[in-house]
Amino acid sequence: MKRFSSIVGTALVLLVMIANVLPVSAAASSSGLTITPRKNLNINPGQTVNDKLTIGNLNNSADLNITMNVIDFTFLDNSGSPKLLLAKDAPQTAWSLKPYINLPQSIVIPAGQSRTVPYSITIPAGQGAGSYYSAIQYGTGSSEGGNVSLSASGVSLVFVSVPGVVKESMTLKKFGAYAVDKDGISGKYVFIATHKVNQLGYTLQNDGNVAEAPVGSITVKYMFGGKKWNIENANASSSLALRGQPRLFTACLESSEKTTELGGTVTKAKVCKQPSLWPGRYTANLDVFYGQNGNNTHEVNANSSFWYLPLWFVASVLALLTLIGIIVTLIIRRIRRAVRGPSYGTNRR
Amino acid sequence: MLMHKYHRLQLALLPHRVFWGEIALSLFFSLIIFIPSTSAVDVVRFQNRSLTVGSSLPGVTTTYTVGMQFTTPTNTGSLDMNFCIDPIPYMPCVPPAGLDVSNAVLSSQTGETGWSLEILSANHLRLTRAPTVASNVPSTYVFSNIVNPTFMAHSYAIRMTSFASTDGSGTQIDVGAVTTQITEAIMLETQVPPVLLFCLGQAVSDNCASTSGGNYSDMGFLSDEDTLSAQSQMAVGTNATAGFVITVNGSPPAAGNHVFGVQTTPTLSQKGTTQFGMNLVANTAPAVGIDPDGASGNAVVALDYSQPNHYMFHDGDIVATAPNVSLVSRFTVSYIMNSDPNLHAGVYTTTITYICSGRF
Repeated sequence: MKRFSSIVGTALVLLVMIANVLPVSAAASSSGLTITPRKNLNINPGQTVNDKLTIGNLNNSADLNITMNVIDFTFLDNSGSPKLLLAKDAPQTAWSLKPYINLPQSIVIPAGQSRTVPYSITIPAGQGAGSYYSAIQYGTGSSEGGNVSLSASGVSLVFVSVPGVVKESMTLKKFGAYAVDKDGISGKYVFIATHKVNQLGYTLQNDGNVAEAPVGSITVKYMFGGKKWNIENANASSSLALRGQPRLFTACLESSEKTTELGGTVTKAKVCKQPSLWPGRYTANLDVFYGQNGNNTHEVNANSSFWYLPLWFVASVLALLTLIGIIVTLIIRRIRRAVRGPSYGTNRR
Repeated sequence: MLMHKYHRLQLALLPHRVFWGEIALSLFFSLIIFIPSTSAVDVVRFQNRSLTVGSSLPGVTTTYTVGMQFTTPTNTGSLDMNFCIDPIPYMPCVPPAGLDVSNAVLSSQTGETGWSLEILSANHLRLTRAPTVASNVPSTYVFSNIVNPTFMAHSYAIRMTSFASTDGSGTQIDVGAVTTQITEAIMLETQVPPVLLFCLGQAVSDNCASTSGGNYSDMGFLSDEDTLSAQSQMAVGTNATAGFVITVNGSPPAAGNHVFGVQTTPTLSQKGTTQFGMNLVANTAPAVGIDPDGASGNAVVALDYSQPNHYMFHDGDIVATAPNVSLVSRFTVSYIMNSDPNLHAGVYTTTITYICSGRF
């Protein structure tokens, strides 16, 4: 009996020791998610809209713990990248939806599954017409440990349009050929292009209280006639100019359709392709409209031009002009000799 | 004689012997010497055009109130109203799907009045009257019994044109368009909702189905003789036409009140200096990181974070972006830490948050 007790006691002690030595591994948490990147809603004053957010957990083996909160954002530059106002003491923007959104603070999504999260937006009666927008941030949390802890967040941009009489003002700042950088977003306007131009751009300054998405078209013509480009949709992505933003809109001179399969869904999108351009001058006409329901429709119309002068063409022209100059010089000298006699040109100083 | 006059002209205008060079350059620059014309032109159309739709629900029967002011004071006998997706008058008119004005009724008219309604097709109305000089008074025309389009992916317009004749023939006088859009959507089964996909870890699979290594990097013990390095990965993709952007957010590593210095411009790794930075490409000094991979052809690393062996960190910076629809891309982030011999002792830690959002 004593021996049995001793064995059991020893086993218990060993068990406790082992339990204290072995690390207690916390359940792994997913940080892979799918979200809806943008929401557009039309809400009358005094109305509440109930909507849903669909969040997916991409990790097939770990649950996804999400915290949700509303943050304000504005524009970062003249592109469509948002500038999230993450500071805890960031002042509320004039277009903030923070006071009006009601959503859960957290949710757990099982491994490999998705959930719809209900939320609501209530616009108070008497609220002024215009555009209001904020972002819903989905935080996946970070692990403790190490020098650098990592945390992943997704963001849905929520835009609400409150109908009524609004202030709309979009001023054209620039229009012309646009050469994009490698990132496909930044770039610059060009007047003389040495590489083929495949996009036209126009910058509109939005001084109204509405986020605007202009619609319209651009026509491009070559100096010697022939092919004409009709860009039927000058804002194919329905890009928005936020309140106060000088927004750059670009349109492909020629586009092709690209099919993308992502997450089990197939999407078709327009991508720019290289147009066939002859060297020379091109003129472009911009005609776009903007305006909210019940308000005046505004039209922005402008003309511009650009040159496509590839280096091979410039070199060829210079060589040709040089050749013409030499030929003309030689002809003139021969004429002078013929007029003044063989001695002309030998004793001139 | 002729040559003598030519020679005098040549001396007067071009005193140099070698003149063909100047001519060649002059010809070249004459082709391009003009001020690039970018002008915002106020088009003279119908003024103060507006459109109020009674309901923005797709497929419902509602009223359309068109407001405008005639610009040209001349005899006007007809006003054409063509419902098209594109507001530009010279573009082909494609009616928005589902729209039907064939049962429209002119409920009221103010300002320039005396009109009667003629229905020409499911997307074409015409107001006619005995030709009368049109004044510049604000005018409104209310049409009831119009069926809204079911087409929601794009705005649509009413193209308006006035004529002296009563049947819409002849030279147009004033033109203009008003636009609107169906905004309260009923999700159609044929529509693919936009989705943004994002994951993060020490290592992630290219479809985000799995991550490994946890969400932290332990870089080891700081030394003025060694460069500490680590890496993490993130994958992102979207079918939204505006693309995505990833920003890096956080503070430099700190031990209490002692904050690590960071490079806010791309800088080479330098042992013996206090330095914390990152990039998203493969490096050799130190040997850490991998170039972006994945099926996407348009997702790119931001310029400041795409230079091999150059590292920086700035709170809020964009580190990766795609301008439109993008298949999944995987980015490997490389971190480096250097310290100088006088660095205050302590455990330096930080939390870096990568925020992925769609663009607008």
